[in-house]
Amino acid sequence: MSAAIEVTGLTKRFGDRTAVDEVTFTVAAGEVFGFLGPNGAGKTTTVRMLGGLLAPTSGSAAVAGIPVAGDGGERVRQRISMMPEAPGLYLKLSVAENLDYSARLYGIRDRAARIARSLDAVGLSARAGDLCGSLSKGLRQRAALARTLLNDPEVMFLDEPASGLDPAAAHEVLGLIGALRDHGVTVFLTTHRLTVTDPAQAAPEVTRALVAADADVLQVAEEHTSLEDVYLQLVNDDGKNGKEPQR
Amino acid sequence: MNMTRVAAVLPKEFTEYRRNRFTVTTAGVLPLVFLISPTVSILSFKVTTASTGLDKRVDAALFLPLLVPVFVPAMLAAWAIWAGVAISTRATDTRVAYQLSVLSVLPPVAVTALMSFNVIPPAFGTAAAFAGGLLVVDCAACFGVSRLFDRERLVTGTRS
Repeated sequence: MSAAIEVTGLTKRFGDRTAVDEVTFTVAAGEVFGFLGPNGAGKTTTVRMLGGLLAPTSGSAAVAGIPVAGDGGERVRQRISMMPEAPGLYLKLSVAENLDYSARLYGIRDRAARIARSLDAVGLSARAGDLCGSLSKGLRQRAALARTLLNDPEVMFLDEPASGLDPAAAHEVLGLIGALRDHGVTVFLTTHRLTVTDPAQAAPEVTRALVAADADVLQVAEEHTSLEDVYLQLVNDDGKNGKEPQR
Repeated sequence: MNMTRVAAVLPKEFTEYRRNRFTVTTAGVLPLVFLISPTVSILSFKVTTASTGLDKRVDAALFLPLLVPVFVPAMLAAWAIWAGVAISTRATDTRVAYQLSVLSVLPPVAVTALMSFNVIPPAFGTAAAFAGGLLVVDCAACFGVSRLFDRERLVTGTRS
């Protein structure tokens, strides 16, 4: 299986502070990949670098076979989609209007068909005309997820997609993400919640997960391996584990 | 300028404006005020007014409520937008950016107010020069402000 994301020694510093320190990993095409870590571990910064929004201080990364550095950022953004933690929907616009706006930005020609298909994929067709301001948080997450489907992305970056949702809504959103795997989309999922990414427990749709404990210590829990021990070990032994990722 | 993005943003902005009652009310009422005011002013002239004086009074009646409120405010609005955008690229707090943006439009608004109160004679030449000056500033700001954009600062609030 070819690699959808290849990251080698990726580092990001803001002044004296190191947000991401020499991260190295590979995500195969079609994989639903969990990127797990506590607040401040550098998950969002990693996603922003992979999406071409931030330039890495050092290291390299390629998404969908395109290097994200230099001129590659624009090309990468055409082939991926990102869902930030705050969906950023326009609350005075309806769900369909929000999607139409994004579709226009992407320069999509058959907007109506794409919007209908995206809404159908997340089960939101019946609420297409509702203002986003009138939707519950769970439904807004669904609308944001529909927006990420508009450009038929090869890779989707979802930053804390279940953040702030009640267990039922979180379960629904995660189920939708799992269904994307059937369409061959590679999903890169960041979260600080173990139950969201643990392949052996609550989220069997996640094929593999990577723990970023403190921006520099990485450990991969392979399929059917509980993340809890890995996570607690890394967080509790902060700085004692060295920087070598263990697989 | 990316026309695809412009074509996406314009309908979205108009839809949002349409849904904002305050914007719709203001957009509906203000033109009426500026139409009614000069009409009342012109209709209130006495029939005995001399024709030479009448020309000046009609000019004044139309100039202040129609020409100045249409042309100068358009330039002022553009100035306010550029000033607001420039401040937003540097301010990390939304409220601070908003308040500084409001302050930045006060000097040109003060000039308009001084013209309204006859402190600066409200002559066509003065207003045209003022609007022309603002137009030059707005054009320069269009290029200058776009260079202030720093994706990293906007996304993270800091620079690496």
